[in-house]
Formats: sequence, C-alpha cells, structure tokens
Amino acid sequence: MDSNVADEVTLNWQPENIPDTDFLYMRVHKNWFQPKQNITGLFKNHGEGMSTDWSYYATPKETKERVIRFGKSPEDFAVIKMLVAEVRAIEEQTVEHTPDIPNRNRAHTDVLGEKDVEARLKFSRIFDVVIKIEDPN
Amino acid sequence: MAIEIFKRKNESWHKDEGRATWLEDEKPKKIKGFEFYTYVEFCKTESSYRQNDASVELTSELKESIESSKQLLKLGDDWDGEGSLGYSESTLNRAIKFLTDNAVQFWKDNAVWVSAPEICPGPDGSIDLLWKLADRELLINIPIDENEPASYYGDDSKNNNITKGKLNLSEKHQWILMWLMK
Repeated sequence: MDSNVADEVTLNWQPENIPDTDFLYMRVHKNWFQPKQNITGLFKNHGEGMSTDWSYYATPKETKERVIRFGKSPEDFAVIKMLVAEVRAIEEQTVEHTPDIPNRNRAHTDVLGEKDVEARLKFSRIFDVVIKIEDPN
Repeated sequence: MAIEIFKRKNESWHKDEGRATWLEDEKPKKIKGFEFYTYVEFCKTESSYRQNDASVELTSELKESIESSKQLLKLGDDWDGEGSLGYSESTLNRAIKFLTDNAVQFWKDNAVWVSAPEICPGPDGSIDLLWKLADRELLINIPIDENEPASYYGDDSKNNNITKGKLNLSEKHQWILMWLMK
C-alpha cells in the first residue's frame, strides 16, 4: 500500500469522549521552574484552548518529546499531569478531544474556557509533575 | 524626602536621637497605641522601592520577594518556548508599587505586616502576585496595560470565603490584605 494512502487511513481520527478518571499531560518549559517561581501563568489558552495530551493516547515522555517536531529541545521541558475530573470541576472549563492530524498527535486535547485568575489559581492546585527537568526521560 | 517612623507611646526619645531630626511642634499620629512622627531628614535604606511618605522599612521577607522578582526582567520574548511575551520594568514596577503601597498601609492600620507574596510570571506579559497561606490563597494579576484594572481571586482552597473582582491600581486596597490575613 502506498504510504500516503496508509497515512490517510491511519489518521482518520475522530474526537472521542474522555473519561473523568484519565489524565491530561502538559509540557512546562524549564524557565517556569526557576527558584521560587509558581506556574499560575502557565495556564492560558493558545487560540481556542489550552493544549494538552490525553493519557489514553500519549505517555508523559511522548508529550515531552513532541517539541522535537517544532525544532525545540525536549530537555528544556518538564511534564505535568492533571486529572480530567479535577479539570472539569474548575468553573467554565471543558475537556475536548481534538486530534491534531497535521502534527500526527492523536492525543491532542483542548481545555476550553476562559483562563481568568480564578481558573488559573485552581489549575495551580491540581497538577503533579511527572517528568522533572533533570530526569533523562 | 520625609519618612515616618514609630515609637511606643510615652517612651522617652530625644528629638536629636540617631539621624532623625523632628519637626517642631508636630502632633503625632496615634495608631493602635503607637505614635508616628515624621523625619525631615533624608533617610537611606536598602529598599529602592519606597513610595512617597510611606517609607517604613519593609520586612526582609517582602524585600526578598521584591528582589527576586527582578529575575522576571531577564525573561525575553518566547522565554517559555511557547511564544510568551517577556516582562517589562513598567509592569513589574506597578506590581511592586501595588504591593508596597498596600502592605505599608496595612501595617499602619493594623501594626501587622502582610506575608510576602510570590511575584511570578503571568500570562501575556502580565505579572501575578500569589499568596498561598495556610487558610487562604489569593492571586492578583497586574496587567501589561497600565490603563487596565488588576484582576483578583481568593478563597480558602475549599471554595469558601470567595473574593473576586477588579482593582483600580491607582487606589489603595489594603482591605484585600485584611481579607487575606484574617
């Protein structure tokens, strides 16, 4: 089979429902973790939503290394995770699976909703770091 | 430049003590058992963020928070690999002025210093003031546009005792520090 045809078949990804019990992964640049810096400012929309990866289709390592496609160094990024139920519990925030076909990222998920001070403070309470900057993986 | 210092009521204190020179016949301001007099001599301190006559010495914790916030100015555009704007001196100075003005006023009103916030990167070139205390948390965002009000949200982290709204940065808002320190 021609590889382009194979791609078209493989990349016919449809949005799916994301269960509350799953996680969202998100990259965090090392500059956010300078001494005594908090990451309340990290939680913002780029375009319509805040980009994350759904744990069903991605590992933290894959999320970290996705920056290679954009010419950036994975070593400069940590990865955090957030429980979907806790994200949805923040006012006005919805979790929408939005596969990124051009960048071949089936895990891509947008967190939609205004990221005002209330939302940002609450996001800052619900994340855990799953890959630190100094970790080789 | 005049600054204010305090001394305990009825405590003896010569007017020529130290580097101070007192205004003659000045009526002290009495606040919670303390009397406030006014220096007429320029008083040098380490803090370069003293505002107008509100020149009491900040706590070391507040000064350290302000000092470390200057690191933000080293973050140029795209400092996070996601295209974020860098931080301007103008925005940082407004954040520091807001903090020091209100912290000093809060101290004058209550004889208590507010805990130091973390002064950290906000979205789109704005700056966040974040307090995470045992009982209450408060986030104030100082926008990049000086004509825009600051936004704030605070609660007890259990969605109780919520305070939320906008602050005109040209006014004092020590009430919000009162809310925080309750």
